[in-house]
Amino acid sequence: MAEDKIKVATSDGGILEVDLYIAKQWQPVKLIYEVLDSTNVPENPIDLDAISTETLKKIIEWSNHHKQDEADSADNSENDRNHGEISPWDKTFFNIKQEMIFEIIVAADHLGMTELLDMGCKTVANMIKGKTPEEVRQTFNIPNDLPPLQTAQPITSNENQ
Amino acid sequence: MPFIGRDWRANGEQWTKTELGSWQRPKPISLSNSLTNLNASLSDILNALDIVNSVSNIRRFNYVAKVVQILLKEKLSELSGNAQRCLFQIIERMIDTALKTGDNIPLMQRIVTQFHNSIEAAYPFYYYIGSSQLWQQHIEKLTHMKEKMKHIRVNRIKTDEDNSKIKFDYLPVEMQREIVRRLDSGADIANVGMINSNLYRVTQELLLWRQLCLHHFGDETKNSNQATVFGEKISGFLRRQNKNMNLDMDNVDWKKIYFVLKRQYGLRDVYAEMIHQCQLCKYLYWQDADHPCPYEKLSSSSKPITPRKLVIMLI
Repeated sequence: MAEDKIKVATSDGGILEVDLYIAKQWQPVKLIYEVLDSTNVPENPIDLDAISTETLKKIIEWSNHHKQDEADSADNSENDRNHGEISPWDKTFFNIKQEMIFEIIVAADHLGMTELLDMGCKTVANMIKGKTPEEVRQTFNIPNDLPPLQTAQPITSNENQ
Repeated sequence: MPFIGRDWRANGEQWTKTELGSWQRPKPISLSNSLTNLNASLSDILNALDIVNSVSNIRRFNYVAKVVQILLKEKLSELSGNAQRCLFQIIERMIDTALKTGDNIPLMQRIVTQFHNSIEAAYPFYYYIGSSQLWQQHIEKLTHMKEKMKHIRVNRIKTDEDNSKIKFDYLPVEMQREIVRRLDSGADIANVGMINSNLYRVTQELLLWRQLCLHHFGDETKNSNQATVFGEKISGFLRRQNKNMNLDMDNVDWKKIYFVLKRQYGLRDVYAEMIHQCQLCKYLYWQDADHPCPYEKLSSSSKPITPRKLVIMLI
């Protein structure tokens, strides 16, 4: 059953083959399968036009690694902000260019993959944590458009972890 | 007087190899862990818990950092010379780990600065245990550490800059909101708000602060997923506000509540791995490890120990 593959088309014209098991976790694919009869594999590749090929490849890599996590779904409601939760594999996975991380976050939201979205956002949040506003601006190359009057002293907490 | 120590006829000493490649004496883990042994000093217990090596473990890092911070800020006058040496070892390891992974550098800078200030303020030695040479040595070591970290930090920030096509600023607002939601300290959120007018708008949303308040000061029981259960601290504060004026539940200023309650109660700290104490034999051990409990037949009951409680136990 896991051997079934379907084709998906990405925004830059690439066509990738994906395990059916993984593709069915994605919102757009789920919708299509609900509409069609579940035994009919669609003839044409499914269009995922908001996502580029490279991003989709990374997402498939992540999905392949986390296949077993879907089976034993732990209660995630308590782990909202637990910083120890990013596993070493995920850390290496997200050790990529910033723009790729952002593309993965947007794609994960589009596909409805909450786990991946959570990991991506936590990674970026860890990059922000503990930095002054100027340092965050440098890290992410964000222009400053606030008038000087509003830029008060950045808050440094003494009790931070 | 006959020589009663170990001479050439006795067995040699035992040495084990550490991960760094150096050699160290084996740590007697069994001895000094129980509370009933009143002669266990701070450095003994820290050695037995193998704190120096657990610093490289990312799950234990935050816990150890908190313990170190409490010891420095409040207990400096009660630390013996040996304990201070142990503390220095721990801090040096922490700095090495932080520099290797690139995480937590601001935290380490804060710790070293705090230590430096406390030691400087301890002159003239009314409540600092140690000679003036020791004091001098410590100050030098700390200054050296500060310099090392300052140098590295400047380099690291520069290398993160790259001309990305999707910049943080151009992310859809919902994504920016999701990212900011995962910051668990009000100071971080307020700093993000000072970056840019777009981000300022994102950080001003009350829902964000409400969630933060509920996380830190909300009801501790696991069933509190309902919106109406606010817990003692928040309800108490709201009630006090209510006496002054008519409170409109929809316009509660959660940002203000967060900072007021933070001053009052302090933030809730969550650690990936904590030190536990077995209730039966009073043994201290890390969450992941095991301990040789003499009462093995009975069901195991262990309590997690917060950093503060650990410090109280140690000193």
